[in-house]
Amino acid sequence: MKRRKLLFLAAFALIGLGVTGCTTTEKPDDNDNPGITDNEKVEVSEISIELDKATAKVGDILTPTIKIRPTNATNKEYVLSSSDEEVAKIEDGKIHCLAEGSVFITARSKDNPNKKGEVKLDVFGVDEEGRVENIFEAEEGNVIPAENGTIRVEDVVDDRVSGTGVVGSLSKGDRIIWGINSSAKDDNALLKMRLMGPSGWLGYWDSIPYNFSDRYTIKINGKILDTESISVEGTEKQGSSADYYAMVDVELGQISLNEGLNTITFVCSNRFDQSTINQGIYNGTISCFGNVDRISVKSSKDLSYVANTTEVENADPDILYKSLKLEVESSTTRIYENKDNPLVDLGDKTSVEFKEKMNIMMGVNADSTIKAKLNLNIATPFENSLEKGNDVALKDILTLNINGKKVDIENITLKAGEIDDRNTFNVVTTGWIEIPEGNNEISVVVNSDLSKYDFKGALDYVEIQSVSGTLTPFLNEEPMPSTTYKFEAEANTTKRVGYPELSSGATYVEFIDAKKVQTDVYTNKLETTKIIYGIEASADTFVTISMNMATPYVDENTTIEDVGAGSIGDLWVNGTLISTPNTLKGNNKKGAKDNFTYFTIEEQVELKAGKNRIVWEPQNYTGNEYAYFGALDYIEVTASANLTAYEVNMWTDRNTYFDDANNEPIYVTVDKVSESSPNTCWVGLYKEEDSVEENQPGSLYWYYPTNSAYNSDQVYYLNKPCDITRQNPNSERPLIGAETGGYYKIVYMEKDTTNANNGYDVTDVVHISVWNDPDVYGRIN
Amino acid sequence: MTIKKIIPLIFCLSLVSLVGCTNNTQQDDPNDEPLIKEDITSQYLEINYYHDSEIKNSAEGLLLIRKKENIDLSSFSLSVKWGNDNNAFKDYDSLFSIENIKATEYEYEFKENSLIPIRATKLWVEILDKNDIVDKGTIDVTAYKKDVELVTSFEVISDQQVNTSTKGFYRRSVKAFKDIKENNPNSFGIFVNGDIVDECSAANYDEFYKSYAEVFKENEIPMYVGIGNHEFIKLSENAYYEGMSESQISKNFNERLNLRKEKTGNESQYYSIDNGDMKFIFLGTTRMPMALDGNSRADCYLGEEQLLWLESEINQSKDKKIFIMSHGSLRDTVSGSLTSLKQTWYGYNKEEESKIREIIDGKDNVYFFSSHSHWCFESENPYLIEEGGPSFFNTGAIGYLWEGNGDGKHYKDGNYENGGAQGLYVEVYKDQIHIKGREFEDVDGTSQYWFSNYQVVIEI
Repeated sequence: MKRRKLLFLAAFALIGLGVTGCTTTEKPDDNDNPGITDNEKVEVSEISIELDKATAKVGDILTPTIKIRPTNATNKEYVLSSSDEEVAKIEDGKIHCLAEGSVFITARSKDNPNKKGEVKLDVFGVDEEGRVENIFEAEEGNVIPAENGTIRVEDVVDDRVSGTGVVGSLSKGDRIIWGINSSAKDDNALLKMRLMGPSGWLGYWDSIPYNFSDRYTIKINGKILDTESISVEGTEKQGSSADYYAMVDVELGQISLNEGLNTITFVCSNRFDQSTINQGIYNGTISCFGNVDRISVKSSKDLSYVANTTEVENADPDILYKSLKLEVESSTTRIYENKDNPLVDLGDKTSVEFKEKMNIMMGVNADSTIKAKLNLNIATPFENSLEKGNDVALKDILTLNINGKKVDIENITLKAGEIDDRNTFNVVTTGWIEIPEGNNEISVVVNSDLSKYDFKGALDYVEIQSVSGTLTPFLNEEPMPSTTYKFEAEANTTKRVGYPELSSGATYVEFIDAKKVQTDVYTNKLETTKIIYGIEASADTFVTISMNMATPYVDENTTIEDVGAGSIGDLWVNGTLISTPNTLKGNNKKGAKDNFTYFTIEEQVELKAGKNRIVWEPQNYTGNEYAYFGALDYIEVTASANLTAYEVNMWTDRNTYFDDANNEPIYVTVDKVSESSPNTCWVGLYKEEDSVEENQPGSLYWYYPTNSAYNSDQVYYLNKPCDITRQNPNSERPLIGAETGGYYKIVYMEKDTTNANNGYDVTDVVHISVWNDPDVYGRIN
Repeated sequence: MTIKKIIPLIFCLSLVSLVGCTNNTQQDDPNDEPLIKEDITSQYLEINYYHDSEIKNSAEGLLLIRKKENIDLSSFSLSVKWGNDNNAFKDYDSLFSIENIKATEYEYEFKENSLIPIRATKLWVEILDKNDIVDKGTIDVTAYKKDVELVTSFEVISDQQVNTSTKGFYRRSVKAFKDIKENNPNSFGIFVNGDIVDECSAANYDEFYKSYAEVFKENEIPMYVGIGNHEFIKLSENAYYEGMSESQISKNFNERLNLRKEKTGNESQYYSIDNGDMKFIFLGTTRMPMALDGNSRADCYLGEEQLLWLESEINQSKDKKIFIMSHGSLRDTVSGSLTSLKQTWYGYNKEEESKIREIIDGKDNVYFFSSHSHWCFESENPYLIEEGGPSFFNTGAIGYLWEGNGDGKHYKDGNYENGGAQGLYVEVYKDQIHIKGREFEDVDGTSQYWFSNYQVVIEI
């Protein structure tokens, strides 16, 4: 007790001596009121701390400015502290910057320790080239919206965000301009930006991976900075709400600063107009185009910020486009009027008037896969030369293709011209497409029925607009105009599995429905009949398939109802199921077996160079009982390659198997082998990704259709289904089972000795897939 | 210690005195001064505690810890804990801790209504080199305390979500019951605020009651059970009841309610219990919990009849302490319901919530316990004492805990098997109520302790 009283007295004495053992400084304003009593004591209500700037470099010593309220507070003493003394330390009331990092400097009132002020300080080091990092906050820049732009400054309190906030809500064309004064020329400055890139909301992911120049443009004194090679990784962070402040520092590269005022411009250019993404885990709508925190410039010169700076005159446009114009009269353009009239000669004309089925083909080489837009300079068709025409949908006139694959022109409209105007051309533009690396063919294929048009339109040029890469026109020596090939269902080359011999003169094949098989094991495993078209293509090509199919009916006295083609069967191309959302019409008929509907499947399908198979497999999904199940007359395939029919000699009972865990059989049938060497013909089952013709890894199973001695059961299998999974299993590779579902292929080869590349020459292939889901069949036991 | 170093210490101590924040010099009368064990003075730190509450047993105020000059403590850690005269409590976690002491000073604010634990006499500030104490200092707090007379005590826990497959849920349910039996064998009752099962099934109910019976073989501490949303969930069902008619949904609700009645013995979803001058009110949903602000099967619907009943119960109990057990919280009260942090785990639609608010707002005798969110006690606002009442308390969860903003994530990056468990002990004294947070099991599957930052005192 005594000791405590002693302390008390000693304390008063020490105050009198003015001892300041705790770290403290002089009072900020020497405004003591002599003679003040305890009753008149004025408490500190507020204390604030300010620094000249929010950043400093290692070695700097800063003097903070402290303000105390009220100004007549009795005791204005305070203590300073640092949140990290390794970065900045307080000595004698000054802040000594020791190392790179961020700290908070606090001033706390001694009178009322509950009152404190705080300020953040970023300390930057000097690099080996004597450069110091200078920070310029986005919210201090000149924020300029585009017309109808949405850019704005947002206050944010977040440890990851410097300054008072970010500039966000970006839209295309919005920009931020920083004015930076440099004490001298500096060709070795380094520019960095801290931002969060494009991100999604409700799509549950944060910043996507992106190429910087696809999204943003940086200009230094009006000149675009090359950021083509800067890729930013996605944050791969998924949560139920996007984190808009997952900031990332992006090094933008070396820049040159002039002595005096410089402008650094950031533009949200989004040069490919991307508002969605479909890439790995990132898929959905991009709802935020980025949030910018700051830029930093490392320079050995003294830099300072100049507010309200505007862009220099004659600055580069936000997006630098490259253009390649492919004129119709160019020597690298070939125009086919139709298959029988190749090569239209334009003479002196610089445009070509459309004729039905005309093919206009232009070769272009790309040095890399290039994103581009296509501008078509077209004269609008009209129906009547005596009246002003209407706007015309471009897709009603032509298809636009790259290497046979259609380009989306769904929303492109040709504006109506004046009466009988055949000479006014207007440019229409596609969306962004990809031109693959290598030689490509751009083709304009005029539709086959433009009979209602008096003037069917004309083409002047196709211009390719890109932003990177090099495109060069070239003359395609062997162009392939778009051609339609017809393949009859009753042809000799068409394989009809599960069908009886056709009567002579038959022009179509009546469908036979699928039937249940393995009923002792499954309640609902089906095997279909098949109409298989073997089609050999001269090159990889995208094709459009049309079918002429008869509508089924329940009985002869009931009016035939419309039915979806997909409800009475499935279309498979090379083992892939193709959707047929087309309708077979009833046409108010009754009992008509030849009530055919010609329909075209809009979605193109890819055929590979070599052998392909297009297969129709009837299967009744409707639940109706049909007296007549429909029929197939022919298919037509429109392609930019030569297509010829070949007779398929091998098939499987199904395309997809669902019970691999229980060793479901995979039946392969070969109905013909090489006449000259039947016993070297064999069938192997491989994984889809196995290379067979080169360094083949060994088939999982194999058998010989005729050379039965080599089969596990020594049975002769020509024209007989063989369960290939029971034949010669490979002991060195994982076989088909519960753990190994996926994609496989059945390969038919006519030589059983390896070629020079340690592989087998392939004659034909069937693609299948195998899974473990016996509930699909309703497994009984 | 050199003179140079003594002077700052004395100066600071006296400075503390000048501003009315005492260290240990408040009692001047030598006749009635209690025996206070002397504080330990830290070699390396200046420790000041500015107590600022008129409520006895409240710790409200500011603790400032300042490093002495020219000392590098960056390789040491700092821990502040409650303790007695001899040592820091081992069964309490730290009030706060710092891994590497790099700052010049650290401050810790004791919130309004924060409780000085009954057993505590000192704040312990320790500097540690891994687990070894290299320096320590204490601040005596006995001056801010008073003895209190216990009237009764009970526990409030929730969200066991017991099922027959996740062993951790069952284990933590047993552990919580065991903890209560050991720490408070004379408890008036264990109040379980809903979601006792993960989904509606007889087996799950049986499993829950088995966890109780494993500890309380003779019902030594009675248990009162409330209703949540999981009592109506079937995990195989479409979470938004798409394709189901209203009559089907209603039929399912009634069937599940009947199963609950059979298993819990509760005839009604809502009921009250009287105990002297205390009333315990359980609220419960009267229809199938539907989607609420993005969370499926999450809401509670009291209905007019129950609201009228609640109003009547409260109006009739003006002189009583009213403890409301509501599975769902109200918006912007406690963790999990804070809309500024995009948390959406409150329990009522806006219309019903405003009706509840009309009934309870301004009533300082109402203590509103809510659960459902599983948000951990470390989160923002584990409790909220509104000026003039009511007071709101998050009960944590026994099954597993949650944390974070927006939809949140597993507590301490755990998982369902090791998800942590927290709950509340409530002690009713003659003129105070103490609410004490307890960590029944941390994500290591083992640690148990009193949760220092959720210790609350309310004057009554």
